[in-house]
Amino acid sequence: MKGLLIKDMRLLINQGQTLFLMLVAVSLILSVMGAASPSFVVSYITIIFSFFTASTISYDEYDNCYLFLMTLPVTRKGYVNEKFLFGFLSTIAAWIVGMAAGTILLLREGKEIHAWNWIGECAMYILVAWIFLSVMLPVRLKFEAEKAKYVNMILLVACILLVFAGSQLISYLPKTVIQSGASFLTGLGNGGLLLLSAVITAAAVTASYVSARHIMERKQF
Amino acid sequence: MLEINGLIKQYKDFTLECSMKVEKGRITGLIGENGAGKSTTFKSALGLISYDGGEVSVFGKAPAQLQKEDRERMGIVLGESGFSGYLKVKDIIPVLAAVYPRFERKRFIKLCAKFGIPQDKMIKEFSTGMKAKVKVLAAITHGADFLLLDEPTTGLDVMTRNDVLDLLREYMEQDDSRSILISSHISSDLEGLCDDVYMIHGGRIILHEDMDELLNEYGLLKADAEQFKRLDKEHILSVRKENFGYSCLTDQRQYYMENYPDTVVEKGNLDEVITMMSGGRRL
Repeated sequence: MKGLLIKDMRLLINQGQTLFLMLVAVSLILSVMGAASPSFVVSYITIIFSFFTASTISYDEYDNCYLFLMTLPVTRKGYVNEKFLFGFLSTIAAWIVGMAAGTILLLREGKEIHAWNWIGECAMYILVAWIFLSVMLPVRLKFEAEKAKYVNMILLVACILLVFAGSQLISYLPKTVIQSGASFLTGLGNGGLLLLSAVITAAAVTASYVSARHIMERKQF
Repeated sequence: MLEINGLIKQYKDFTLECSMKVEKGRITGLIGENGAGKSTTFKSALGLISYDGGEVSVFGKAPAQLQKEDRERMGIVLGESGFSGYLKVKDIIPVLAAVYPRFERKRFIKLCAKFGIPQDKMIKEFSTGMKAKVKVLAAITHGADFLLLDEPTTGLDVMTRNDVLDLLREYMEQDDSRSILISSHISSDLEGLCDDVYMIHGGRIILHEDMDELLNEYGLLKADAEQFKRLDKEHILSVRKENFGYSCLTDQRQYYMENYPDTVVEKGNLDEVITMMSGGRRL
């Protein structure tokens, strides 16, 4: 796994560096122009950069590199483990940079916010990035680059429809159910909500990892 | 090193049925035209694809049972695959060092310099020859006991092909317990390198012979209709109709030279043998 991690780190340096600098530059310019908030800077850098991990699979596919990687002393399980680990590490790195940039902007604006609320808000963005990663990695392992684009689009539309259907469904639910749901969420407080989000993310990552392992075990090269 | 018994791999319009063996200390060639089944045989042996029947064993283990340590003992080149083109040679050195405990970093760098392979250039910008050399260098510089090389010389010019073949000869000279399985559709590459050769055609092994035997004992008879009628057909392996009469492949060249002095008997070579075995009529 160490060898694959080095490979992806090198790809990150060769290919991801420009993307990363561009993300930081765009978000800072937008903020200075007053078009983006510090929160936007953190979320934008973290979430968009998480896409890079899935794109390292495309680099592996380039020139049939996949086939060659599987002839190295690397197991299919090791390959999946490395992709998830690299995904986590690279998004954490992007998140730290995004958070530093966001915090500087926040201090520059002179707004007052409780430190833990700010950290908690930022933590939500890395959880969202990991949810994206959980969807993208198995899809990318299962489908080739072009097909994966369509599958991602279909999943996005499905999510929008699901949210829309959910919002419509709420009006049909008895008031008592809605009230108890709302009071449960408000009762959780900021910390509780963050914890709940972390549990949901952990469940998504676990499901994603299990399906990625399954896809990789069955993959024919 | 490698033993394949009755391997069957079925695709919609192609079936591979293959048995072969690579002995310790030998270079075994696998020759056949494009699409004959060479790459499928390699992929099956490496566990990259599943197969529908038969048995494959590498170092005495089925491909699915091969451990990291077993893979470390193998050096693999696949003609259609390699390191990502978005990496540089200086990027792949630490990768190779991390995956192969016995990676000879200094030797790899030295050989790269010897063959004019730049360290600081994206692999996708390399010529076909450079890419092929990098793959072979990566395979021979980590103390592997067994090389599996699928079309390592495809698309290379004569000079580069000779460089690659020299590297393989050098690899074998370093340790006589090493083995190589090499596939190619270029017969001259295998003629001067292999100890024995398997010929594959339409997914089936149609011939297995020691290279010395093939070059010294095989021959091509060129006979007109009358001469062909009189020929003893016992040692004729394959016949092809020609304008002048018949071309006949034999594995007893000496016999026909002595007993049929009026018939032209040419020395066998791999090209003729594969042409006759795959295109001629078997007797």
